[in-house]
Amino acid sequence: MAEGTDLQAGPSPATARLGRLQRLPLRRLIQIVLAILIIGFVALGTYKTLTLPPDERYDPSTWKAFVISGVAQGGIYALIALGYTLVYGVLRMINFAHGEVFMMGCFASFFFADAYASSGLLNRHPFYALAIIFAIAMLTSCLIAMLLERVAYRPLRNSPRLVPLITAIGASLFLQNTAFGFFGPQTQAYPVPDVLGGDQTWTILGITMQRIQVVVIVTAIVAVIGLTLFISRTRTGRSIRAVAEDREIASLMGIDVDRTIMITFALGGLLAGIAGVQFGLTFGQVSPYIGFTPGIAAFTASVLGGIGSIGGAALGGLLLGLLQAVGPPLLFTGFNIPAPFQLQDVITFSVLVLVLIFRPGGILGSGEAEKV
Amino acid sequence: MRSRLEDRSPAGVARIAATLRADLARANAVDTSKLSFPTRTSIEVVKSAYRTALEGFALPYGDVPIDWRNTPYVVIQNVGAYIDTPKFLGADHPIETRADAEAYLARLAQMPRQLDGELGRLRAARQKGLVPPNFLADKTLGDKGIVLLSPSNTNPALTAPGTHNPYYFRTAHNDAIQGAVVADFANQKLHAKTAATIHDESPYTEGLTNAFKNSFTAPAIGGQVVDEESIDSKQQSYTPVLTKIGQKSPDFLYGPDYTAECALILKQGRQVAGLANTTFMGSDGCYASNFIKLAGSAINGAYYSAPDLSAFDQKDFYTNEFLPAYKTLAGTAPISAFHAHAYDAVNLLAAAIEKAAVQNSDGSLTIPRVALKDAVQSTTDFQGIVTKYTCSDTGDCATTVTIGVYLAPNLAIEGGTGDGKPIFTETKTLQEALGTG
Repeated sequence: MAEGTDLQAGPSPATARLGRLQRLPLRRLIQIVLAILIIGFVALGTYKTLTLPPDERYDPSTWKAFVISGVAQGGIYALIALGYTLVYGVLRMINFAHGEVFMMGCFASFFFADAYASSGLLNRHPFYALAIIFAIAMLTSCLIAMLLERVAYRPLRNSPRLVPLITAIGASLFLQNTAFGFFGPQTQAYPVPDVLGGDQTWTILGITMQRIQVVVIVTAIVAVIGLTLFISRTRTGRSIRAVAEDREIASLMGIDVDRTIMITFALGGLLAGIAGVQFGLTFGQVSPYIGFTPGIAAFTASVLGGIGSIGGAALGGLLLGLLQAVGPPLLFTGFNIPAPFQLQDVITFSVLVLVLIFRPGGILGSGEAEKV
Repeated sequence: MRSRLEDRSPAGVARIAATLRADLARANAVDTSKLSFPTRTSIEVVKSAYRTALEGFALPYGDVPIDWRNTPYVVIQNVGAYIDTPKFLGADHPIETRADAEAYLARLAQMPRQLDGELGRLRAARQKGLVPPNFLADKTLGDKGIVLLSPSNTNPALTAPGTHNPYYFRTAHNDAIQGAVVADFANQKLHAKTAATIHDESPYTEGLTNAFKNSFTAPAIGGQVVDEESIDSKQQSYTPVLTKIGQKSPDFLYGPDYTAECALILKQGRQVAGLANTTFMGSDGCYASNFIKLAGSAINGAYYSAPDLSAFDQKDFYTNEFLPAYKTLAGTAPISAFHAHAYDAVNLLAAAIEKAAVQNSDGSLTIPRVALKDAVQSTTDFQGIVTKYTCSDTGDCATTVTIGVYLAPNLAIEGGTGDGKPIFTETKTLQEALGTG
């Protein structure tokens, strides 16, 4: 490409200046132009939105509401994204069925939640009931994730990378249709205890939030800290890191690679189970199709933050939630674009593409491009 | 030459065959041994195509597309002037100069003659007993000719002039009517001055929000639509969209959608500060058996529009015979709004079949498609459970419709309380709703 111009020996003085421009790799040039265009668009959109006439401008409380709902949504994304990132870190493989693992956890807990709601336990002892519901979801998701690893991925571990990727997509469809076959296509009402009902709020540091949003955010933070501690402090965590670093050497050092990988899947499953219940409690619904969209979003979040990095998954989830909630009104209202939330996905995936162009490893990632 | 169309009559075809024969003789006379290899190949290709075509012309039936294979049939799904000529005129006839355009028009004017010519050959083939097998004939007609009588499609565009397919009919109401009734309700009963709408980009929901907006902002009502938003039905978090709408604090929020989305709009909308004094309203798509369970207490005080089941023409038959029979058959009460429309659609279709069908000598029945379409089209004052149907030129058979507005939780679905009767009903004709009457 542009590097080829170096072959022309001894440019004449007249073309020396041009020569420097030519030596600039074409890719870099496109990146720079793209960056200028995007920064220009974002800056202009933001400026126009913030300087709208007072009666059309969003007031601070509206911005606050956008941010809060974005952060809460981001918390769920982060929990699912951790599962993607763990598996990727260890196996360099995208477990596309992870969204379905999340859905299965949500569905399994639904049956218990529904029974507790009709027996009255859910409102009389919400804490115990929720503890059981969370346990069921975590257990189910964990088992399904381990089963997936054993049946669908382990036999293919040494095949080319594309093969388990395709199996993962197959496993995802399989799980979705299994849920469809067992539980039917209808959207079910996920019971929410009154203490976490939509009208129940807590005020923390002057910010009033729905209790369920607080629960989601706090759980996500606890999960990220817990997982980080687990990975960095425990023996099992150390073996996970060792396998992630180099599977062969790790096995030479006496680490049971199969077991370690199984544990990694189990961890991802546990977190997906938590996310499943939180999804149910937040939206009050469950259906066989709920895994797909949050799954894709969480995958995007983990790539955004830097796939393979725990902090990256959390940051990516948070950013993605915020982008989806704040992005459309901030960027598009000023341009007077009708129904700006239609363009939610445009923002999400533009950001994904941009991150892949400018920082292929993600925000907190290594900065290297790695082919999946 | 440029302004002529191929003559497809028997005489015309004979002339083409004669030309081909002469051309082939000329081509055969050329000494090819001195020509380059590619040229020789080209000539061979031409000769081979001409020979195949002449074999076709030697038969007393069928059609011969010169650059393709011979077919025993004059007109089938991929053969015939009805398909070739429009394709040719559209893709191959250049229009750059005035002469080109005039040639184009001249060709267009010859199309009837061309079709007549083909008809002559079809008749001749028929006399010889050469009729395409059903699977080919059906395909040819079916591409354009399967009657669809829908009991539940309500999008106005389906029966709008310009987008209507002549084989499409419905017993369901046109949402132009439902949207107009909702606008009247918001104006007359709620005295709403400002409204916001949400749709999910599906034809059903967008059709309704547009119909509502047209009626609500028409001079007769003079309302203002302050925000029009859309959601992605694959997502579940609508709080940001609803927060944006809340910024305008509309009197009325119209969110026609399907059950799961309706429930989410309600539950999340109730938590948005700016919507505290806003009345929520949905549509018949929300109205399915598990709706109240999904929406929970957020449903209280929300309004829904749907066909008014208590205003059916044949109320007694509906209550005393239809519903018990339905229960026996399905094991449950009807779970959505359009069950009676489906019953009427089947009966209307059966009546049209009785009119159009032909009993064959061997006792079998043939239902000619065009005749069936014409029979449905000519339906006048057909008494169904819901109403008397008269099919309009653009396929709307329910032309006078009664829409009810229901106040949740007084809904005739699982978990509903009260008598399930609407609190507002209005009967409108299609002309009134479309403003064409």
